[in-house]
Amino acid sequence: MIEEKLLQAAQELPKAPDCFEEIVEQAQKYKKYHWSFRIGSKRAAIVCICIFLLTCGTVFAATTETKYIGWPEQSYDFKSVQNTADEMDIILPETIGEYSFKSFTSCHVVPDGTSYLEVLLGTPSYLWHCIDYSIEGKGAFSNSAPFSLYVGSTENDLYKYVFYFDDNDTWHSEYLLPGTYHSEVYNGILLQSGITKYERQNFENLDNSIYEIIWIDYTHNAVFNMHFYIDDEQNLEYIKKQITNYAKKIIDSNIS
Amino acid sequence: MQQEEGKIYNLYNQHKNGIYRYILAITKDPYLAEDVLQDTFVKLLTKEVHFVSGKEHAWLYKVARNRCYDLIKKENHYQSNLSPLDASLVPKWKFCELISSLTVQEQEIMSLKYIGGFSHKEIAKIMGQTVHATKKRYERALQKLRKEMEEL
Repeated sequence: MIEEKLLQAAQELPKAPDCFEEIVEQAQKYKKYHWSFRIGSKRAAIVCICIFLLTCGTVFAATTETKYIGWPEQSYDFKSVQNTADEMDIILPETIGEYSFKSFTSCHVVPDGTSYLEVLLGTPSYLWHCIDYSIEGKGAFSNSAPFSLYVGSTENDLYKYVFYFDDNDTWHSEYLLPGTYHSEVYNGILLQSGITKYERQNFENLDNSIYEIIWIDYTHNAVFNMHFYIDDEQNLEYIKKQITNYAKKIIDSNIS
Repeated sequence: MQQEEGKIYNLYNQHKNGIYRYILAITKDPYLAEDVLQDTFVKLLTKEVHFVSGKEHAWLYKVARNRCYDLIKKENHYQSNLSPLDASLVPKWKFCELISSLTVQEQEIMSLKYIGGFSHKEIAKIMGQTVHATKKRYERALQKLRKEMEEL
């Protein structure tokens, strides 16, 4: 008897107000807020903001004049990286040299005005991914130089705008510091590299340099972009050598 | 990744009323219940917490419960801290009235049983107790309520 009464009274309690849109809005604010703080060190955060701006605010398709924005999603589980690698039919390493997986970010690039909810509900988007690596035992806010690997598909032409390629897949070297562009062919793949100095791009008070290396793997329809955040000029040559070796390792693992 | 978020949307539609009612029953605060419901799903969307596949129902209530106690601690927002005037403003829901004579733990067990429809094993997991203790408290609570009914 009392059981029936309780059951009936439970059903008479008020229903929840529908607040899924607010939930999505809050989740999206949380992501925006945490974007600049949860990836690598302070310098990495600056770089990520640059990349974020690159895709979120200032990506324009020259032919259509369409403006794009990006909605990021973050994960701390390497399974997410594995799933992405499986989908793209590529191999993405859990460790590279002394660096181990730290976090994974995917960014949905969609036409400006597309809400996060629309992205969740399946609006077609261009996806780029970023795997952040750090030295074991050194946390996100340590002084350890973080290292990131960006990857995206070349099946959608938007990769040219996201990764700064021209129509002939030549990297836009005007974004690099003068005299730092370098290219070499390894196992039939063109490796292009250079240094980006972010103080030139809205971060005037900060002296942050990134050594970037980028290549397109046409067999797997994938573009790879490695970022290494430079500590000082002294170890630049070592960094160049090291990151080039890492890039070659990734190329080798995807060939075999 | 989008599949997972679609799953969250489905879970929300499926469990929003249950979670809201459960928090409402233990706090008597509709605003807090709404906050907890929102925060539970924000946590899921931001991947701050992850699914336990196949056990989503009980697990969602556990996340909501933890969030509820966090908020209570933070805001000192618990029922016992309401002044008599505040308490008088709380709407009289029959379910809350029926279980009002029980202890806080017993009220929670009854809420999980009759709102969430959980087994003793699931209630024990959500509340972090042993199955034996949960069962005993449930039976004691039922006895109390039966006695109250007889006296009426």
